[in-house]
Amino acid sequence: MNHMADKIKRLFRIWQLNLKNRLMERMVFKFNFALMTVGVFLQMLLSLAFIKIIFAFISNIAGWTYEQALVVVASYMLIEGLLWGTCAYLAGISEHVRTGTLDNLLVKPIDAQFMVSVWRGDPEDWARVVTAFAVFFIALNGLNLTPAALLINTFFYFWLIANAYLIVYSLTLFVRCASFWTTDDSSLWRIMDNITRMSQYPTDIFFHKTVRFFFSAVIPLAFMATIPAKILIHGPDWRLILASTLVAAIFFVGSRKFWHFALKNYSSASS
Amino acid sequence: MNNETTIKSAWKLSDEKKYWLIFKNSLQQGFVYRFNFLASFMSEGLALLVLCYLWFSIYRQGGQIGNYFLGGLVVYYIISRFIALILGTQDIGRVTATSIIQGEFSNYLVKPLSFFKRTLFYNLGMVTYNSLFYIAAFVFFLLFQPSKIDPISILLFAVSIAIAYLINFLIYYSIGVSVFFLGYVSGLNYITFGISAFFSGRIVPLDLLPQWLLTISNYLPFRFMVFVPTAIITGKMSLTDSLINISEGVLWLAILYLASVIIYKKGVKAYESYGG
Repeated sequence: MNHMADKIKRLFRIWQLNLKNRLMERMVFKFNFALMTVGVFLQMLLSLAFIKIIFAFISNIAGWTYEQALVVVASYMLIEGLLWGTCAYLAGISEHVRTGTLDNLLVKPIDAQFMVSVWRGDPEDWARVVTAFAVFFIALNGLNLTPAALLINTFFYFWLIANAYLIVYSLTLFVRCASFWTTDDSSLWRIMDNITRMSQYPTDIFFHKTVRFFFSAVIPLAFMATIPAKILIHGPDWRLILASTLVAAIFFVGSRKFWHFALKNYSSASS
Repeated sequence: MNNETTIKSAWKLSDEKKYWLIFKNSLQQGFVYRFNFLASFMSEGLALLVLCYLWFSIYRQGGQIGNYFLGGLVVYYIISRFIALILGTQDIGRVTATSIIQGEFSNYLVKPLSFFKRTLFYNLGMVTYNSLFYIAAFVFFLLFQPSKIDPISILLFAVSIAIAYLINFLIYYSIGVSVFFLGYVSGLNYITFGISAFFSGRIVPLDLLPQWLLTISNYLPFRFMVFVPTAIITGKMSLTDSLINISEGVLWLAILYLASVIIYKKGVKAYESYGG
């Protein structure tokens, strides 16, 4: 137990150091860092502007009111912000494979998947997390939940957000591993990026059952933002909570196995 | 023909041939990375599918967005995606800046090659490659439109697309060469991409914006990138308005070209290169 705790502390420290290095790197060009942060904030505002403009003409989207739709948008922003801020959507994998410098990480006495995950985290993208929480609190205000419901629903909401993070992380790992074969995964990454963006709309808009099934089971879009939002708004639904946890576990284990399989195809650029 | 004329003709031909070769190489590069093209098409297709479902679900409930009917809104987004795919991304800025930061730019100072023209023709090659398929798909799409589109609208649309491309190119090229002063332009690139995506009409048709946002967009060049061409081809703009907008677009082209030349010339004076 102690050994496990020490290991976790060590991993957390390494992650912290990498984040610190990345921030120092960014602060070499302070003006650019400020612009990037403003740019990230602007991107978030544009997502909100889109929802605001649509709701100027209608009262609900597939039964979702404005405040409820805002929860979905906030959930999407939170996942995006956490993934960019903690691991930059695993961009480190593609960069290392392309430059042949993955060896440096592979020979270290630490899990390679962890090292490539924490090697890069974009500090300016924490602005997404801040914006997400701001939107979250604005939306929460409009949901009129009782204090007890607020406490319970929020707890399960963040549980499902953690699952959503794992799901998107795992999907990203699948996509990034393609760079072991193609060296240029930018095209596949574009698909992944668009899929994540699509999660900002409630998946109830897919009124065809086949399409809804596709975006729940095949590409688990529903589990990224819509289902956490539903839990926050309507309260715990054990089937959804279980399904979300199961999907997260399956994707995470599957992606880790695929990572090890992909690693066998890695050939270094130098000795 | 005397010797002097022959030499001048040979030089001129050689000059044109240089950029033709750059264009051709860039076009061929597109054919090598065919999967990238297919992946772009799939990703935009998926995004379009989701947006269409969004509009379908709103309209089947009895809602309406502005004065757009469902068909009109779907057509708008299909056309705007088509234009966005042809214009490409903000990579012009990143690629331009990278070639300056990494010193590759020094080559253009010692060779008889214009950095601007080289960047333009290289990008044109990539855009032409993207356009080959999308234009075919777009023509196919237009043929199935319930209302016929007149040849003059198609001609004006083609002109407006050319203006859209050049405005997009000049904006991001100017950002790229700003690296001479800023050292790093990813932030500026990113902000511009966000602003242009919104004020070009790619996210929301500009005529749905509140008045104060519409006023801001009228003072920016981004509306010529998506909204104006789309309005021309869908018949939302009269012939007179189309011609006025195209003229404004040309004026913006002149302003942006001048700005890019000034930034470049000042930048070259400040440029320092290390190594041979």
